[in-house]
Amino acid sequence: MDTTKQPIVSGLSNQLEALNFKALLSDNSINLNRNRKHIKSTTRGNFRERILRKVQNRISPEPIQEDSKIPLTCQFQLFQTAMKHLLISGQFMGLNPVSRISDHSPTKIRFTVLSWKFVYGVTIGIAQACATVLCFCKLLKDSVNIVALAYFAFYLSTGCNTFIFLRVASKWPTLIKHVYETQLDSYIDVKVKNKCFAAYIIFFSMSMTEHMLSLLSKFVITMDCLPKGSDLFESYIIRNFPWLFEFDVPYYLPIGVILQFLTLVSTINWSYSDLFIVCMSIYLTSILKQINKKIEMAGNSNHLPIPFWRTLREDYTRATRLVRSFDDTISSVIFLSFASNLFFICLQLYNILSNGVTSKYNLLKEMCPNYPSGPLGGYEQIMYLLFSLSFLLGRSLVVSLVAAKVHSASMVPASALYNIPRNMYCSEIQRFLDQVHGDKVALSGLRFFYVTRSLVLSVAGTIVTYELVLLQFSNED
Amino acid sequence: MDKDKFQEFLPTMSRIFSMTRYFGVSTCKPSIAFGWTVILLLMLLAIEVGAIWKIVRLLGGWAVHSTDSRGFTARLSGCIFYGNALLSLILSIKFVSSWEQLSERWSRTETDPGLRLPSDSRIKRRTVLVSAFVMTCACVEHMLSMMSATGFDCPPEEYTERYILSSHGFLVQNDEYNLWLAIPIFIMSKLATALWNFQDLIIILISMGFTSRYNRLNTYVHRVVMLERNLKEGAQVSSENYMRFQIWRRIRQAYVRQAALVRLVDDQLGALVLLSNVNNLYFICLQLFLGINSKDRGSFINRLYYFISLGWLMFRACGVVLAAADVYIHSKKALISLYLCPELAYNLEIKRLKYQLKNDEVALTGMGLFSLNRELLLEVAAAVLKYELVLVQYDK
Repeated sequence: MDTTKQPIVSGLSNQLEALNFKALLSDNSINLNRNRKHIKSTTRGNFRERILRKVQNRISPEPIQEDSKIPLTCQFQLFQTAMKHLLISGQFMGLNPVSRISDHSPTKIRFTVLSWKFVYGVTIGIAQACATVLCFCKLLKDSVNIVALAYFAFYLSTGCNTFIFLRVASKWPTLIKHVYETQLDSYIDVKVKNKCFAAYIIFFSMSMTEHMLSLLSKFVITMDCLPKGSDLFESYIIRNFPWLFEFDVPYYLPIGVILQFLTLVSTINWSYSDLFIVCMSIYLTSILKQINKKIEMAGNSNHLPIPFWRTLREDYTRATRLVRSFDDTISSVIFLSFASNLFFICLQLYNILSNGVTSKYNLLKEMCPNYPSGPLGGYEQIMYLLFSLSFLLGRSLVVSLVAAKVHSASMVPASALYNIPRNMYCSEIQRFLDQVHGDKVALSGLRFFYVTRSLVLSVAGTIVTYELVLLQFSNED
Repeated sequence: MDKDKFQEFLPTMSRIFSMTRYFGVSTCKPSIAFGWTVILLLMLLAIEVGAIWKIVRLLGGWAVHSTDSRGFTARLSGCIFYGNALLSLILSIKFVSSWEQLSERWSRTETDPGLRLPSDSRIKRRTVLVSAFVMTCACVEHMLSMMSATGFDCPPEEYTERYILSSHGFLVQNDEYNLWLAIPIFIMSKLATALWNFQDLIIILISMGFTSRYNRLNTYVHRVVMLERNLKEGAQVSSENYMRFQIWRRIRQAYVRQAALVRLVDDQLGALVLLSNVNNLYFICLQLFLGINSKDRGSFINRLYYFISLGWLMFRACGVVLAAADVYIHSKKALISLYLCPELAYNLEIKRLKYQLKNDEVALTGMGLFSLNRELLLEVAAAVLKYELVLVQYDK
């Protein structure tokens, strides 16, 4: 939707200027295909653009596209294709219930309260909220111990996650509209699709592995101490959901199945928000990196006139506006993700450092009749603990570093712009420099903190401090 | 020749890097030195795996001994010490391999802008002095450590046994000791100490090179500005506008190229900077904690060794940060001269240069996580103090 309306006289001089510089340009390394892509769209294009297209056809008949095999022609299509798997699998867990989320037409994407996806999401959220309340009651009943605290924090953070994603879903159509309207179609990087898919596969497989290991270790513990003649599944459910059954709720098979399903959904939910942030950051970083590449190539050429730099600066501005728009939508997800990662890392590290990798149960295990009965010969719990901790640490590190790349990519143009020689220097370049230095372009956590590389260091310092303080509690026991 | 005087720093560095072959840091080209490097790498890897396995045994509850010198702290420190040596070796090899390209780019940056900068005649002497100083202190400290581990009253045939068991107790139990294990460990401990000092030395030397170059640029700018000020009204450095623009343009381009060079070297060196700082921070905290908390101080030699090693560690850590901070400070010093520029001589190039110097942050960073300047030193000191105050309470 081209909204630049200029008076006729300056419009003509702009056209002449544009014709001039396209005629001067002898190397095709700079992608001038912005206007070429507008041929297909009927909502864009005006008289000026059509003249430019005709001239370009005569000068450089071969279109130089980033990758001529892939038919992705606009940002919106790239975004939808790259995020398809992520968003649809999120909806299986009740997250981000936008109807027709992977549709290729932005008008069909809508958020309505009356859709079954919304109801499903709200149901899961309410179930997690009930679990949170029950865990809290159990925490009050018994003394504060790590396991109960972990359960409480787990259901609290996944419940909050579900409700936060409901809010994201309500803002999603606006965001999609912004992605559609942003005129950055010449900065498409098709590798974003592969990167997002690879991230999706890695996160999901590791999350499923963690869940399988957790199930395995819990089943093995149940099997070890199974009194003869009782049902395996029933004793497993009763042992592992004490926050429900200690309040004298009778056991029925459907309840067990529902509880197991809730655990599965919550476990994947826990790492889903990290995956979500990683994919969004990959997408935003790719746009900024393409702009940086273009600036660098332009810096190496001999003469490019003022309209070129003006267009480039405006593209950079549009990219930063896109980053801000994404930030407004997903900053609550980032905040919750960082907070819960920090809390769980501290908890897990404290658990391992103070109790060792063996738990109190392992000492009692040898008194159980069927010990050892699992496939790993008694080491399932240790493996699960170690895998869970390393997955958690790896996840937090990856999220922080990938999200910080958005900020680093936005600062890169400065060094190329300093190098512009005298004959190309103009007020547009000075404006561009002012913008690069003056604006803080980064993803944030509800504006409490900006995700940059220095954040990683301060979070690590915080974790070390808290661990050192917490470890004294175990010394006093 | 004139040209040689400008570029004394680079040949000195190349000669230093060629001498590092003796403790395993060599380029990746296949040769005897590279073979020695591979052997050292494998031995370090074996020791590191052994140290990690001991920690896992302790955490898993299978450890047989967990007294003081075999407790968690000792095992963790041993693991971190050899882990640092391993990573430092790998990163130093990477850096030294890329040094040829970097030095080529560096010498091109020196000659390209066509400015006749004043030369820095003392850089070579300073480089050699600093390297010799670091090496001597490292040797003295290590010899003291050997003496402190075994004491003076040790019969020679038991020397290796007592030394290995007391300094590497986290790795080798009393019953696991044999001579075939002891000799590689002995060599590796010397190597690891050498690598630990070398990683700090590289950073200091490169920072000194950058600082010297910035100094020369700043002195030149100062001279040009002073010349413009001292001339009578109407007369300028050159009577033609074009020549003045040329000089300032070349100065600006020199600063741009220098900033690009610093960034390029920072990309290669960043991991070493991060590793060195983290390692120094951990060992300073650890030594302070052990010193404050230990009740039995041991003999005179033990106490002397403790103070000398802690002092040397702190001196080296501060030296690294201060040397690197100098790069940042000197990159902005020309601003002071530029503010003195008289009105008649002021032009667009000077304006661009001022903007650039003010806003462009040129510093060595640890892989982008933190940037080495003087404020960092204060922050790290505050962090060390905080951790010590927390750790001291363990005893109570």
